Amino acid sequence: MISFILNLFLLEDDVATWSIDIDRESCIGSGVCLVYAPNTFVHDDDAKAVVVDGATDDLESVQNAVQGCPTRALRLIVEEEV
Amino acid sequence: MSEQPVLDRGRMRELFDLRNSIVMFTGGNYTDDPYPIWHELREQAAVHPGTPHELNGIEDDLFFHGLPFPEWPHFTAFSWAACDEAYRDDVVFTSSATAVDPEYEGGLRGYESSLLTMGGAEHRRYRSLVQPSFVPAKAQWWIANWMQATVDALIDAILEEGRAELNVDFCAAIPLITITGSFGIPVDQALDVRETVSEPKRMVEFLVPIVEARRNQPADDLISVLVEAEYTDENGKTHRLSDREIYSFATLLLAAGSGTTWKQMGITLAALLQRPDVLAAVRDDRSLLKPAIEESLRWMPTDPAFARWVAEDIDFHGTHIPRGSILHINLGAANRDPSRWDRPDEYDIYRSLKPSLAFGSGPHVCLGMHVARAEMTTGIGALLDRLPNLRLDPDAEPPRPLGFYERGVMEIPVVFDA
Repeated sequence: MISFILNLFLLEDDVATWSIDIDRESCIGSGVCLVYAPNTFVHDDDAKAVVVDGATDDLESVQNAVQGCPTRALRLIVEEEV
Repeated sequence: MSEQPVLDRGRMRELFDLRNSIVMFTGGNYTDDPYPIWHELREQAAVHPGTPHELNGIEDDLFFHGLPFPEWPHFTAFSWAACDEAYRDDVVFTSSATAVDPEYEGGLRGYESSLLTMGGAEHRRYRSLVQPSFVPAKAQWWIANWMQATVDALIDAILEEGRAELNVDFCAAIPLITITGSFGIPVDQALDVRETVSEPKRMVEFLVPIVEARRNQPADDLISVLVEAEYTDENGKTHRLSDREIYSFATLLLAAGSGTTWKQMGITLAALLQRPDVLAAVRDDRSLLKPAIEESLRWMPTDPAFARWVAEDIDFHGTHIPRGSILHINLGAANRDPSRWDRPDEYDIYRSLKPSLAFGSGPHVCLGMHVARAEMTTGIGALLDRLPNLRLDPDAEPPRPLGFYERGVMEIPVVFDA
């Protein structure tokens, strides 16, 4: 399991810090998360999802990626409201 | 201008006739709109006893994934929640009859031991061997090696004519040549290969010399990737794919990837051409092509139902399903579940993007989804770039969807400024 921290824009001025847990055992590298949040997820050399530095997708896109993951390898957790 | 040979159009039309004998077995003569009945059934219950075609009033014996299996009880799921759950739960809803009944001998001929029918750790291991060639980052590899030249040659062939039939003369050829090209099969043999699609043994005859050649000298193609792929089993021992395993995978890829993307590209093009304002918007702002393709996948997936073999008794979304049944996942119905999408019957490229079940879900989610997307993006994008004022031929019959388990449009007659 790897955790990534990122800031996501909610509304115009509203930013929250979230973390995304990626279960590398469950991740099959389907690439579904890259379709819905292409500015947040990439694949590493093993075709496993990782989060890029400076992810720029909005919350809804990231939620779609998490929900769309065919093997539920992603989890999105709110850390703190800023 | 591309130097790629162009395929014989007459032979293409024969091989890709949606009403030919092979497609008839999957409901090719069905011309009704199945969606009103799916809405009605979903409102009554999330899961119904019966096969999808029976529930739509089709009395013929149709063949498809999970059909006919006459001695097994059949159920069909219609709601988003039930379809999504069935796809994800591969312990209860398995991918082969033999996972439920090891003695069963009536499964999918030719695919008894393939990615399609494997389960659990074995499936995971196999899939991880091929997944790296099918990730989004590899789309450019597929486009540059096999798609772009094909797309360019097909458009070159119609460019001066001012009119064309895009379903067979364009859409059908792209996935076929992409896949056969990735096997190292030259374009002039692609149609010979397509003829073998329902005869895996004949298909293998094409692959034998290629696999042998790539074992000696790898090239920049998919067979070379398969030849070199290695996996480590539970005892830590390293394996490579056998020739037989490569033939099996390649056969499955051609069967699963050539007809589906062809028809989905046709559905997408027809949807856009029938909405000239939407087509114009996509032509002017190419970032709209992605939502146009995703919406087509949601709105009218070419293969709207896949099957799972039920390994345990289960009370599932209000219906008891006994072990030893087949559950058909009607993803076509799930993709228009009004609890998930407003105005679900509308083709609306501006709705906010949300995952659909067009490519399935769970561990068997479509391996080729990013290749399919790249084919549609490259093909439709090139048509918009190179055929000015592209529109439906006003003097021809408008494209109409047909088919039941394999849906598509028969013809897409267009005119453009030559």
